Amino acid sequence: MKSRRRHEDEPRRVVITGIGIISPAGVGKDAFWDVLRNGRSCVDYITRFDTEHTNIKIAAEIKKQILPRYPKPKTPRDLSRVARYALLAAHLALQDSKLDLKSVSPSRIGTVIGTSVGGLEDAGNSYNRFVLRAPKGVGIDADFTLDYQLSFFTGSLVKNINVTYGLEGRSDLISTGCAASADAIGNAFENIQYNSADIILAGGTEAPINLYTLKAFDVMLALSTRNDSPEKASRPFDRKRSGFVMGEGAAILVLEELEHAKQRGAHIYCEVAAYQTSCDAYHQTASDPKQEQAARAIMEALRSSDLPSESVAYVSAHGTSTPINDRQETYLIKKVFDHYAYSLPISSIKSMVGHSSGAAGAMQAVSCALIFEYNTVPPTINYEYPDPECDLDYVPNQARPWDGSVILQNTFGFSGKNTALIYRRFEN
Amino acid sequence: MKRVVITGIGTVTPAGLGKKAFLRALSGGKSTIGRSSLSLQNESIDVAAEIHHFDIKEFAKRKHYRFMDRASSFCFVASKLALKDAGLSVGKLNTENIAVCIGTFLGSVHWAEPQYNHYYDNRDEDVHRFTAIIGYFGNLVGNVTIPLGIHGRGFTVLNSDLAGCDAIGHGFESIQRGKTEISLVGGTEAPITQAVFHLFNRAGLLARHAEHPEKASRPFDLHRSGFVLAEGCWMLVLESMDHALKRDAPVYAEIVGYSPSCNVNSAQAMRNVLSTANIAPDAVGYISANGLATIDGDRREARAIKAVFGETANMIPVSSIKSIFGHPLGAGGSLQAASNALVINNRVIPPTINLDSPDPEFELDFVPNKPRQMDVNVVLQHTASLTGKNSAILYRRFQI
Repeated sequence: MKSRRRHEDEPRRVVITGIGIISPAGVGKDAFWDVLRNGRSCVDYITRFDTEHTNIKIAAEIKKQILPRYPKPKTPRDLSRVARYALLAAHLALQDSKLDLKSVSPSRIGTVIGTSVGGLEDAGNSYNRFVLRAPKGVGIDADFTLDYQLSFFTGSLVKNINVTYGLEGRSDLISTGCAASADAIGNAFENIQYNSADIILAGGTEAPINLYTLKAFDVMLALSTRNDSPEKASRPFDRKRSGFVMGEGAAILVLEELEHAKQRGAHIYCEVAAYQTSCDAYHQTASDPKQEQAARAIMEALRSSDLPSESVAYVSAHGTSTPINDRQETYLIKKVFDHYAYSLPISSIKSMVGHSSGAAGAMQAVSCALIFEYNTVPPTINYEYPDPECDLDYVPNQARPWDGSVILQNTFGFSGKNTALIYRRFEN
Repeated sequence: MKRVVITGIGTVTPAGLGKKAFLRALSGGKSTIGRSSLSLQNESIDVAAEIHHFDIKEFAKRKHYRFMDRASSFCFVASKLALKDAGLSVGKLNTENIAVCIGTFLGSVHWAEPQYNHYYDNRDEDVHRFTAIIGYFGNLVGNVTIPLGIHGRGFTVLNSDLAGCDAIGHGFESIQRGKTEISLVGGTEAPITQAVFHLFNRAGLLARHAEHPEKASRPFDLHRSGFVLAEGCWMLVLESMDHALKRDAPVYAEIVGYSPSCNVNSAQAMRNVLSTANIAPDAVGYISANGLATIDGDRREARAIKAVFGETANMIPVSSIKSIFGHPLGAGGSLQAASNALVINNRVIPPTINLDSPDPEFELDFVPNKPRQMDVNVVLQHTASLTGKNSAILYRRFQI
């Protein structure tokens, strides 16, 4: 009874015990780390559709040939791309965690996924196919089941995973734009902390490489049009950066309550130490130049985990490669860490795998977990021309050995969403 | 764990703007369903609960409303109304201590569909320059936090039909756990479009009593045949009890439990919420049912209620206000929540209207057709999704 009361008052500890990822680097954490460790670009010419008449001809795509056929979902015949990515990442995460699902009460394990636009691509296609081109006066269609049509919308993303693996616990699909999967991880973290679940598959998924979505970002002049050298296009913090490069994929982590993980002898990548999020309330497309709320999110996260700011030994940057974001993020890091900012290694994996929107925060999280595993921080590649306004240590071009114990992850979204996650090397 | 109370209600509904219009339709048992303003010649049904004469320009500045789709517009107005109802002025509060959680099923579909139409049918090369902003779900939160100046936590919940209910749950837990003092929560939906109509109708889910629109939504009736699409937004101000007491705020009700479940067994969420709140089933004075009016959905729900409450199930009033308001998809759970706060506060249970021939299988007290005056101290809300997920919220009359 005594231990139960402690659970209710004091937050429980949460660790990462499994990683599943499908990214432009390929399927699985090893392919992902190989790209990060060796500083390779995954950006290339778009193959999925004809780009002859578009401004944007490059992206970090998941090549069709690398997609395996497993797992078989217990869901409708045609999963949307974004749902397929999520299901595959969940499969890999569960496999990696070596969790025996039979040993866990289904009501204590759930799924929290973040996405920016979900099945937008498929919604557009299905709208085109079923509504605009539907035969007139069509009646009820037995094949046109609810599951089938919902697969075009977002609601199916979590359901596919839960039904396939028999998970019945705390589950959510949330969106905060590009910060969505970082918030999903934060959400899952708090739900385990406060005893609403023991295990949560948390992460994000996005499939934005389609003409409509690319055009939507292109009209905002947010994307890089460096079409002549795709591998050089994503260059966060470099003076010649010119916009972000669209990426895609899904990353899902197994978040587990510490005692539960220890009891089953799970491999622990690291501990999730803190999460905080805030809104600028400034503008839909621009973040507050003063970065006050972004700084507050980081500082409150540090405070809640009793960590001094000097304990942070690496920053996984949002680092989109747009002129404004990288400048503001640099300003933010200086605002929070003051002089210490100059001795702090910072890098953006978007230089290699592009910006996968709602999945980006979860890909950062995977990268952070693997940093503890391999004691190496990934570089910011394509760093060639120093920008006087971005004058910190961005781990240029080459991975670096690292033995720190605390990592800060910055992830931002439109409308001035700021999310900070803090990971700590696991110690009993 | 901190205690959480409801201190404000803001609604934008087919019955009109604000709590009074909402309450009139609720306790008057007056259907808000009519013929849809869409041209739906190709559909077998053409009824919906629509909001007419709503113009966001009357409520927001251009620099804000130009990023708002219809669902966002409803939400912005309902949020303002809720804060006003709570007697709160954001400028005088610690804006970092306010969370915003908004649930939606389809988000900006009302804005996106004409864009798709334009893009796919006309093969137009251009897309609208705000597509990436208005088209993403997180925009809903930005459209509340930016004009109102709220700096706390914010996110959009996309749990299909449960979104509004789960958004309230998140806001509730955020206060319980001491993460915020105030949560602005609820659900919004603007799904009355040709594509949405077509998709739900083609899947056989929409009601088919087209001759009398106001009779179309008939939960728990023998002749029920599906749900009626509706639009609207219901927002609540949740506050930590200490915060509300300190400023002497009138309290509608206390939220004492929230429990979501992905088990297809509807009884699970209701059982869990009662046990986590430590409230015995016989203390429940009213059940706010999901009551979608689909053949299977209502049957599942009635059976679940009997499974939880056993022999005493027929002693507890159960009603579905979707009979009055139709089904506003992701906002459905927040529609129920706003009603439940008023049930406790005003001591009137809204009826299940159009219950002309109750399905004999159910044998529950559905408060048929007429509101009932009653002192209800504990309300159990059950919200279910079309995809087999359930959530429950438990409300109690507030006492210190």
